[in-house]
Amino acid sequence: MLKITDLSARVAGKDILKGVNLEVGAGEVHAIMGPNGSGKSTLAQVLAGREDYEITGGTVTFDGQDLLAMRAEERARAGFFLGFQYPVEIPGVNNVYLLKAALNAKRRAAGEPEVDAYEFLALIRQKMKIMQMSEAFLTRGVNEGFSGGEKKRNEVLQMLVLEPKLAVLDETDSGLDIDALKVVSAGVNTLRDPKRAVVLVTHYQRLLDYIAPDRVHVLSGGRILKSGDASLAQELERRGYDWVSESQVA
Amino acid sequence: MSSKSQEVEALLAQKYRHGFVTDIESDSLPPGLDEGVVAAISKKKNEPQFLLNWRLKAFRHWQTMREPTWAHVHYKPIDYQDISYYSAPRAPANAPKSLDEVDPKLLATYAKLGIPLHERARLAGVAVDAVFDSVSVATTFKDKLGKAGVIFCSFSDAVRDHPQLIERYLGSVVPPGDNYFAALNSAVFSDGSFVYVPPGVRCPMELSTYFRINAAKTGQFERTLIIAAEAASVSYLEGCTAPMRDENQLHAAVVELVALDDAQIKYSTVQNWYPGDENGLGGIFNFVTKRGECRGRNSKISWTQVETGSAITWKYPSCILKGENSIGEFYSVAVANNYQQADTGTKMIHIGRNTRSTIVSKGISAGHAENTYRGLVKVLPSAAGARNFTQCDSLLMGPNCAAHTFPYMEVKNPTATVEHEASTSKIGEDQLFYCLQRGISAEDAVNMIVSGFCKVVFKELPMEFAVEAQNLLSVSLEGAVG
Amino acid sequence: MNTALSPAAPAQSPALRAFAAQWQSRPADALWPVREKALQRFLKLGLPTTHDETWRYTNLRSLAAQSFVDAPRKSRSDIDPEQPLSLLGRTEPSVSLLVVNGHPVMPAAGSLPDGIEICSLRELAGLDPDTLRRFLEPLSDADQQRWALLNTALFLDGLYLKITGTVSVPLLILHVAAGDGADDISYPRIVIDAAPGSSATIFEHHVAQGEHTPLNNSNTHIALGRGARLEHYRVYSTGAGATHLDSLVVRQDQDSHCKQFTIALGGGLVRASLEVRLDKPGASLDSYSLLVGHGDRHVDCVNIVTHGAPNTRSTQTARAIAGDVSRVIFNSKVIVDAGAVNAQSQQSCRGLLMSPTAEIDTRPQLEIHADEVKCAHGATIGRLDPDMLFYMLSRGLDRDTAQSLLVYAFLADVLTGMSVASARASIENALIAQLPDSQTLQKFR
Ligand SMILES: Nc1ncnc2c1ncn2[C@@H]1O[C@H](COP(=O)(O)OP(=O)(O)O)[C@@H](O)[C@H]1O
Ligand SMILES: [Mg+2]
Repeated sequence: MLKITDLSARVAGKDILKGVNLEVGAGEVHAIMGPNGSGKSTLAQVLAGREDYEITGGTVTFDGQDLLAMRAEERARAGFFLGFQYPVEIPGVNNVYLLKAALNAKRRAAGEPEVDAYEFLALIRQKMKIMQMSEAFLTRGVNEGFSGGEKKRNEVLQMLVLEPKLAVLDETDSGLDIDALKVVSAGVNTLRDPKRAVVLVTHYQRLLDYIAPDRVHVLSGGRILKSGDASLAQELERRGYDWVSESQVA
Repeated sequence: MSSKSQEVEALLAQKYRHGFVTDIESDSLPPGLDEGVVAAISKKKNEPQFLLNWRLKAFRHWQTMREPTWAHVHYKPIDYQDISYYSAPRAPANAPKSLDEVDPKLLATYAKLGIPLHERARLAGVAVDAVFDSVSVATTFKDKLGKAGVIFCSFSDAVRDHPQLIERYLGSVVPPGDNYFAALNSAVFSDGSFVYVPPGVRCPMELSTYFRINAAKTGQFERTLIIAAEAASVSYLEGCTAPMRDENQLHAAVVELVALDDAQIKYSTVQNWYPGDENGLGGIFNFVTKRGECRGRNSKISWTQVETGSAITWKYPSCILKGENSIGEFYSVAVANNYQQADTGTKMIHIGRNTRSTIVSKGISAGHAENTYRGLVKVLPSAAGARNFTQCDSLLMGPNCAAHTFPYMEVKNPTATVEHEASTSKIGEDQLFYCLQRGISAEDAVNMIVSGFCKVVFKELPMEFAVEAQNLLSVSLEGAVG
Repeated sequence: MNTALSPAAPAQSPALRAFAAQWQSRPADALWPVREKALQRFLKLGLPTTHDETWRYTNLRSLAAQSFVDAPRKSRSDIDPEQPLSLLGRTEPSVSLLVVNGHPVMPAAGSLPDGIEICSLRELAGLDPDTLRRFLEPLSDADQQRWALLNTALFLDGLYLKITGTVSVPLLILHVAAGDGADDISYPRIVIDAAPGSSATIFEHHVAQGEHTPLNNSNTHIALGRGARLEHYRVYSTGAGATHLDSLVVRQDQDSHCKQFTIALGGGLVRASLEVRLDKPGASLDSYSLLVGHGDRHVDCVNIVTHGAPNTRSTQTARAIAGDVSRVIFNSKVIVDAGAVNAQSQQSCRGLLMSPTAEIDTRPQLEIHADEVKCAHGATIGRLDPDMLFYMLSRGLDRDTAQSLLVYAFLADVLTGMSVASARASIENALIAQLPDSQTLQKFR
């Protein structure tokens, strides 16, 4: 589904990604771990189409299409979803407006009819139940005044409404208490199916207790240094990231 | 509040500490201004022809100009024919060859002012160029600076020894006809300081100048020019004092800074000209043009000022941000007490791409004073990605003072971000009460609160001067709360 | 015929000569001494120039060459009824008054709701000149009042609205500008006199019809009695060729409250000044400005709010948008007089630049002469936040839609202050029509 080959990128004159290779197949869940500042969010943002990042090399295909040639909104409509590490607050733009606009943009692009207000409300109520969010969130500005945990739930809610083929969730588990973590994981798990894939960027093994990954990768210094199955995450938890860089050198 | 206010009244009575007159012979021109006077100044200083021509051109232009009236200050018209435009302390022989030859009375004057000129200079590692009335008297640490390749000398010496630098840079930031007072200065300036830091050199010490107006009925028109060549850096500090006199004296200086590629200039001022007495009699009119140009890419010019003196201040240290990625900063504390009037602020002109500027202004008004912040942030169409942040706060102490904030924001590039925040309020009664309740005296409490208010600016000053600035502040405000 | 003009008044430019000539045709009524004084002062001061502080960004030099003549007097039948003119839509109960080129078309007796009495200024000048004089004086030399001075001298007629109680429906004053030639000028003048304890909502909507739009030198004077409440709107929707110089003066008595909206949607050159005096304790003002520049329009808004008494409060909220080659200026000043203790003022001004050839200038000023005050202002000028934009794009929204939503959100602080739903809706409609993706936006409201 997603194939990243030798991807390099820089921001503000600084090389951050230095040849990333990664392949994610349909039905799979991958976890990307790695020390702070190693470029995980950069990778996620580059995949989502952020313009401040300059692609200096490599290719990315998504469902056979050249992802890097698409604009951010086209990627979203093609089924790529990014759960932001730091979701921005947009005061004055209603949370529910945004969701509806996003869903309809996607449906239009797919040649499907737009949902009407009634259908939409029914849909969103159902998804909010999964996320255990109160309806009050709908009428507030996008992420406006939300706590860290509420923002993350809102990200997952958007994902559930948009039903992407590939979701990249950037530290969606950070800052969540244990109950919220369960809710968020449950939300992600409802999306698991053989035609979709999920990439989790995380620092913690505990998320992977709820969403079992097929593959685990360590991103460090702008490269994937090591890949393995779920046990790699446990080993990382025990031995730290230094171990990876050392074993790589050895 | 009443017992507090009595206490405070008593404290307020504190007098200007630097008001004494030095009794030395001075060699001055009689009051009056015409082309002959301009020529006489130039001749006294043995100037090359180009400089005389430059002065005369400025003078002729000045004659066509009108004194500006837009500032929020009020004063009786100045009689420009009643001012002496040249007053040099007459030294025993010609110019002093070293500090030892400087008139001991003069050195004593500096000592009284607490200026680190002689021993203290060495200890503090400060090189001082002292301008007494209009002539630069002595410069210390020439040797050490010379080894580093830094030129730091009086403006007159620079005209003699480095005429090509003067010709190239003089007036290149503040053109002679820029404004009324700059034009006047360009015609009659008598001395000042000159700094040139060659490429790649970090100036090994803080440079410093002390200005003092001594003779009666003299104006002071000094000129400062600082050039930081590619990747050079320098920190410069000026201090100002003047004796108590009951007539007003004019100070119209021009300061020009040029920063080439990757260069940095930090210019700090502690201004304590005589502010006049508690009834508003006397004091210096401080009408000064200060401007720096970030000519090269990645260059930086930073102005820090602590303004406690002068009867009237009219002063807007500015930055022209031409070079890509260049940075301009302005940090200011302006205190006005009694009948002082201050109209001060800055201009940040964004021309180059990704230029950035920061303005932090703290105004404190007490007594019957008027304190105005006036600032322009201008983003030209060429300045893509430019950013400015301005914070300007005023503190009012007493019911008869005034505080004004007049910002101008002019933006012609849609990728720029300009932000301005301002507040005006009284010194916090609850803060004051809290301190009093903890047994702190009203005076100390006010000092604490005010210096907290000004902290962001003080921390920009070089260490030695931060303390001095803090002391000045408390002296200026003594008794101002009530 | 008025022949009393002293010949000493110099009138160098064609415009000034034209104004002097207009004066000759004004009736010599009981008010002529004050009006003559106003004219003489205007002629002496001349047209404002960019050297005048509040005119720094607006150059009127081209007006000096024009030989102005009075715009024609027109009746209701001269106004094209097809053009949708009402700001309030058909559903909202409201009362409309028509003013064409400054001349009121008086409504039929009995058609006004309770709590309001009206009379034309011409009538008032005859019946009760002292009342009218209170609204002409004092004359001011201040440069922001320059055109008000001319209006005082030369207005031909206008409306006097006396609010005597609670007016339950919004009142709409529809100003139609419809000239016959390129040199037409009109002097609409409205006086709103709100009695103590009264309350009302009043719209002034400026529109234009026909090929020639007169230079509109309009003036509104509002006096709020003790405890009176007024929500006042002035909305400019004239065409791209129109020049509009509008001055609004508000004087507030104790505990009165004024909510004022200045909304510039149309017009080629719009200069809107607002001068408010909070002269009695407890008076408060909430001012909102929504300034939209597109094409090559020039919108210059000047607010001067003076706190002249203790315990007065004011807020100013301005949102400016400039696209294409337009220029939008927001100039606001809060003055706290000595003795006006516990004055509180807030200014918030945000500007949004949408094109590389547009310009926004703003000057949020404070002039404070008292120490027990809390005054603050914040001003920003910039573009739409790129992080917000990217967030929306990454959810699949069109760039146009995302931008429009953000622009709409940017304006929300002003729009949400409006209490009359239908007016808000039609103002929003007009605004949205000027945004890139108006279709989608319409659906989301
Ligand atoms: N816009 C930017 N400007 C400058 N540096 C950036 C920017 N974005 C990211 N970086 C730098 O890139 C590196 C990688 O950041 P990031 O991808 O956020 O790391 P991670 O998510 O793995 O913690 C960090 O050193 C960060 O400081
Ligand atoms: Mg990250």
